Amino acid sequence: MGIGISGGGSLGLAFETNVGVYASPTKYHPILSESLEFMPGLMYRRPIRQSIDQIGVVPGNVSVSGTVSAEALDDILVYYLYAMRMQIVRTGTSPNWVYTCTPTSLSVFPTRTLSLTVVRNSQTFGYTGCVVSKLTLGIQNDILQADMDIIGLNEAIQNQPSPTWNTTVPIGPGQWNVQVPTGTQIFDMDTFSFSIDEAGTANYRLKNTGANAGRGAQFIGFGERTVQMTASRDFIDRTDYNAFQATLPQSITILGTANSSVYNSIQFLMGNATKSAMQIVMGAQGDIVRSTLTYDTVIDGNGNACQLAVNTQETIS
Amino acid sequence: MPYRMEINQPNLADGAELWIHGLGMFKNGETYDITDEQAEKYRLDNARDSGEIESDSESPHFGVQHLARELGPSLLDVDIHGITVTEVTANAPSSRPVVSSSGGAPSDNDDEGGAS
Repeated sequence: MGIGISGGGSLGLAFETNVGVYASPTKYHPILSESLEFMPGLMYRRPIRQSIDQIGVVPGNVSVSGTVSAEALDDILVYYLYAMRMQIVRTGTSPNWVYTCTPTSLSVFPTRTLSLTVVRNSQTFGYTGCVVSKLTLGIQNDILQADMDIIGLNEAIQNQPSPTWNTTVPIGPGQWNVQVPTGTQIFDMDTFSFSIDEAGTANYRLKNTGANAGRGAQFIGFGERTVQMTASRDFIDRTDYNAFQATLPQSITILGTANSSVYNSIQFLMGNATKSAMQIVMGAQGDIVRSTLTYDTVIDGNGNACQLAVNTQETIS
Repeated sequence: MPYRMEINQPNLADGAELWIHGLGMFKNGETYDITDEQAEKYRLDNARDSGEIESDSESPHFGVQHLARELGPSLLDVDIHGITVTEVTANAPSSRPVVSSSGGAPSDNDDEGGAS
């Protein structure tokens, strides 16, 4: 096999019927980068035995980890949201669906698991049991980008897939409605980064069956969830700063509409966000005076730390 | 031997566009005739380099990378989610109206690949 370049690669995904059992891709999406990696968890032996070198290696517990970075396309994001700890309700009528995603609290498990199929230089890697441990939605190069931190159970070679590509477009300049607080549109924010961290970890159990001679993780579990957002705004007056000093919570809504279509959008709402940091810095003579904000959330009156709504034509049942 | 391609991805609405590398743009829910030339272009566009480094230490080209192009699989050999490809015999009937691939349904320039 010859030398390849990344542009010839692809990434496809599919929901798994059985956790950890490979499912051929049913959906492909463009990616900006990926770093999925098989983690062998080797244990090198260093007992005292008249040697100061490692004297052997014991195969360890294995898992998969890495990050998939992609344009945040509405038809793709929903798949990854299912691989988090979300209650997802689909409303609307075909073909225009609304997926309302609300974090749940009763389980260590995601709603569904994914098989991710990655083709690198014509070689196919099949990652199974994948969940999204952390989702970050942020502005990068003026468009909305999604970074999915993935943890999975295993990897094995699979048949080379044959992708099909959809024509959805990312959310770019001129397609934003930022409301701070919710209901009041503001015009002084240029970047933000919103994240949901599910604190996923691979859980290993003593066993002798399953993938990799029983060395695969028994499951991927989620821990304490943290929902945060950072943002940059022009600093106009002390109104927001006073709210910061007084620890006043705010509801924040950010809505991005792709292709100026109300049927293709991504919205996230933090109903009860508090600024945990607010830096107002003068850096150089020519710099606009801006504030850098860090928002942390607590649950709102409905018990939710956040809520996402995705409008898309993708049908997921 | 031309081919007939039925597109029915259940996750997409009828009429939703999808792009296949080497073939072009199509609409979900439609059936297309694919010419031999298009099928061959699909194989060409999905070709890969199967060359290897010369490993014979006695060879004057020892350590040299050989280039070799291996055509991609034929349309009948690939498994594309939600897409069925069959060979067409003369005037074979179709259960659905067939869009002629020469009628402009696939993109004239499939290298554009849509906007995503």
